Amino acid sequence: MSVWNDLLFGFSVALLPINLLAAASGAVIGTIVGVLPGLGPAGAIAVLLPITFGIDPSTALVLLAGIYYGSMYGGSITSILVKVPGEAASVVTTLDGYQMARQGRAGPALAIAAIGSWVAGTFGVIGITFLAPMLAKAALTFGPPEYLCLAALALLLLPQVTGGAIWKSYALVAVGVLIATIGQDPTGGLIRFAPDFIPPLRQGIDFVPVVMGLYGVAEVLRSAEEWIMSSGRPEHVTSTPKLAQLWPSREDLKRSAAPIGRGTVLGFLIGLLPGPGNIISTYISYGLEKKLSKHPEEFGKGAIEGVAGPESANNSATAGQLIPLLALGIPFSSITGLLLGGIMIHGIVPGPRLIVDHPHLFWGLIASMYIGNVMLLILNLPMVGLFAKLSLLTPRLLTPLVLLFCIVGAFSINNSLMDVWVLILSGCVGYLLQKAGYEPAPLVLGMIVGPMLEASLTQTGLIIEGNWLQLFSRPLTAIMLALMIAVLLWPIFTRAHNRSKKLA
Amino acid sequence: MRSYDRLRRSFMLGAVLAVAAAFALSACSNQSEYPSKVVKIIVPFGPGGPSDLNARMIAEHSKTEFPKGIVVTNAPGGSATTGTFQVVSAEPDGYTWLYGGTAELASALHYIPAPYTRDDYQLVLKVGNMPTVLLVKKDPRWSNLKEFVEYARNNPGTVKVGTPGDASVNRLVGEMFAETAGIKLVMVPFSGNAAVIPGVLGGHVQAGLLNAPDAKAHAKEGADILALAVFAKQRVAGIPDVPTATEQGFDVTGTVSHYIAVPKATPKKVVNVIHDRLKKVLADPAYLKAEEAVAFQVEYQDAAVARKELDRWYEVAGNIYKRLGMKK
Amino acid sequence: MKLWQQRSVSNLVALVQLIVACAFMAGATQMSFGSLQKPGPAVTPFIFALILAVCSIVALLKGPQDAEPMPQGEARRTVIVVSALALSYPIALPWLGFSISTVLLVGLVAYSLKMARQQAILLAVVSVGISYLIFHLLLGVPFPGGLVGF
Repeated sequence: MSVWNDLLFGFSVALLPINLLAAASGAVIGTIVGVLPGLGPAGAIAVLLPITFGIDPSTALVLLAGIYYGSMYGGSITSILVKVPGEAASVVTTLDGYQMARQGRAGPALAIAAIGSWVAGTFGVIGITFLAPMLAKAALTFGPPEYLCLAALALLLLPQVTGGAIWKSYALVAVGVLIATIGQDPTGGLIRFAPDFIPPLRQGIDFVPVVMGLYGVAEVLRSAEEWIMSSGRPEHVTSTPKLAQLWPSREDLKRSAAPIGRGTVLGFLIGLLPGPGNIISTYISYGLEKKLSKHPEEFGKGAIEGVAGPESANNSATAGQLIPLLALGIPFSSITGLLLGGIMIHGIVPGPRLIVDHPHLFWGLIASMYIGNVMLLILNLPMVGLFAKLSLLTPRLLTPLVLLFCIVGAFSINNSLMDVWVLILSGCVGYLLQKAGYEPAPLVLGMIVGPMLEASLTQTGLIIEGNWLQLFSRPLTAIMLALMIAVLLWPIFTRAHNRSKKLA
Repeated sequence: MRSYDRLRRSFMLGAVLAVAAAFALSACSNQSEYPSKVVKIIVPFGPGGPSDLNARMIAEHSKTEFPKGIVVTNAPGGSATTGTFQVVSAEPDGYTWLYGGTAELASALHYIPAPYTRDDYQLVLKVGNMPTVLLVKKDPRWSNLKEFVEYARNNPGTVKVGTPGDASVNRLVGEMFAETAGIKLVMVPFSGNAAVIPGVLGGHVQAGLLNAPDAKAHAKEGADILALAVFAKQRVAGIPDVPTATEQGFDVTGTVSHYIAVPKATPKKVVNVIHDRLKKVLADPAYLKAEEAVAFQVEYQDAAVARKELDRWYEVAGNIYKRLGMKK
Repeated sequence: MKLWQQRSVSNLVALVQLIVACAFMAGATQMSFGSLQKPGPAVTPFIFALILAVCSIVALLKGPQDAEPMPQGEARRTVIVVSALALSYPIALPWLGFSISTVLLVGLVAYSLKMARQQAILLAVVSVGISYLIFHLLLGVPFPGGLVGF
């Protein structure tokens, strides 16, 4: 089979010392970038892009791709340890990962995240190797009408997965969408909801400071409260958890295996679609695991499945997102857009001809991703112990540091004071929301999916020429609409059913 | 306890060193002859697009002319008015430049309320153009611009064309073209250039209006995308196979142009230094080669000529927006 | 007392949501709703503001579900002090510059969590120094200098 020959050829490229070095540096830089708040993978790749002008394109691509998938793992480290998601793809990880850390199980959480990322990353690359061109074509059948229905379906279904009262989840989804409408509208460019007395609102509100505030800063306030409450009582003076275990137990591994598998497949398929695939996939994976679990009540209180599934999903989604780039030359996200730029500067245009015209580049990259994922695992497993010990720092030491970490991160996204304001205000709001029994994950979802919904709404209207009933005649949209109607009618149906049972 | 002491001592040492280093490095930035410190280019878009890429290429090739270095900062949002406003209100010392395009400097100001006017910035020079390209998914119904126009004439109101946004220059060029050709095209706005391509390839819109660099990335041998025309006076070096609209009988030209601008109050002497040095960079063969690879058309113009061109484009855009009922 | 407290925080949140919803609806009516063929920029904000309004009214009617008690006594004071410090930080930042205002913030937060004074100062200086080194000198993040310049 020729794929094997090609792959072998790819390994001959990837195993060149310079490319090995590039893959390793990429994985390390990516992990650091994921850990450091604010400076996301897009920023890091943009900064490093000029350096790659002078080196061989395949080496450059190996380095840049390494940063991309390394950062997906790095983001989970801070989510687990201090409840600060470095990027939106690790918001869901905080739900159970941070709870595990508080129970002294930071080690298993980090290790499972690393293992899940490795499995998912490797599977994702296998997917690229064998299915790239075919899947890329299939993804194109998704047009604005399909995105509109997908976004609506996501906003309807996913808020429920994180638990809590339904009206509270939907309230926060709505808040998220509304926050995202501030600033320029996604297709018209008109500037909305930016009153003249707050000029910085024109630039819109970035979701990273919101996420860091809702989780990180809110947790600062919360742990300040808990620290003072507990330090009054002698039995709570040493309330910091002991490291219960450093490595996942057999039981942990057994419980994580299936979620990793499901998260991997799910993430890969969702990653193929344009838009925030890696973020949405984490929510879906979390909801799925909670539905399938024998003990759903543990979710949100430190269930390892809640880390394993979403962490795998976002990594295989990362691989999935490379497919449209490599096979069609279409960047579906800003990061793959940067990679495209990085390739094109060398006069190489990715697309259907890339595999034929530049086999060393394509297969070298693929092979390097197998190697890079192994490197990521080797680099990160030994660090688990070190990181896990960080979770043992007393709150009075950790709390001010987390605050500093969030502030520096928020400022460095756009070098803007407004992001610091957004961070602190979302922190205070997040604290109050938690007190009132709200879980903030749906808000982040709303901010991410809102712009996609809005852009596709305008486009759909134009494409179907104002005839909205047409949505029922397109197969994919019809299925999604039917699902939505079913979800909306389900509570009414069950209520009626229960009543008739009672009567009988 | 001993180890705690040692830990404390090394912490102390670290603290002292950190503070000392910070002092030493911040003391280095003394003023003397321009340019005596790092120059900041603000790109009013996020990383990854042609503006960002070109600004970074200029920074990369300016190392001899600006030895202290140039850093590129992205300030996206507000339809590029955020970054532009940052420059307009920056210290006029020549160390903050804007890498600005036609829309945010002129044409879009008809439609988008901006906190600055066209008089608040000073152009240094024009860097070049990204002419608009009309591209379609390969289709037996049209293999050139004439056939496309013919089809649109016979099927009015059904031909949808993806644009990078309602306020984009590409959309304006599309409207100019539709008027010249006497056809009706439905303009479907997407969020930026890259988002248009999946729509075209999936057949959700029949054509797309992209910038030349984005068009080059997609219209190539073996791909499903065909570039029907480039709206430029002559063919563009990076995409020599794409015929101009004029060649095919439709005299329409339109482009996003890129300029370097500085705050209005920047001293003439400093502006001249920037202009002279950047002019050299724009003529550097290595730079030109890198830009040709991405189909960016480098074209130097001095500030006066560039301003005249922008003013003309502002007027053209104003008339189109008025016709569309979009003018504020 | 406790129940009253819980009710007050969830009612506060719901009320604020309702106000936000009304503000966005009012803002949306200033913009174009477009047509069936081309939905305008007002459509999405209006729909979601409506959803928010409905949800917050439901929350007001349903009362405090899953709400936690607000902290009392010293813990309450500490939370207020820490949030006040955090809220005054972005005000101080442009004036005092990154280093001074951040050292103050980190040190005072640590101090209000009952850290010894010297330890708090040490922690603040070291941690801010390291962040300055990494983010400013290494990564080139232009922190505001303020009146002192760093």
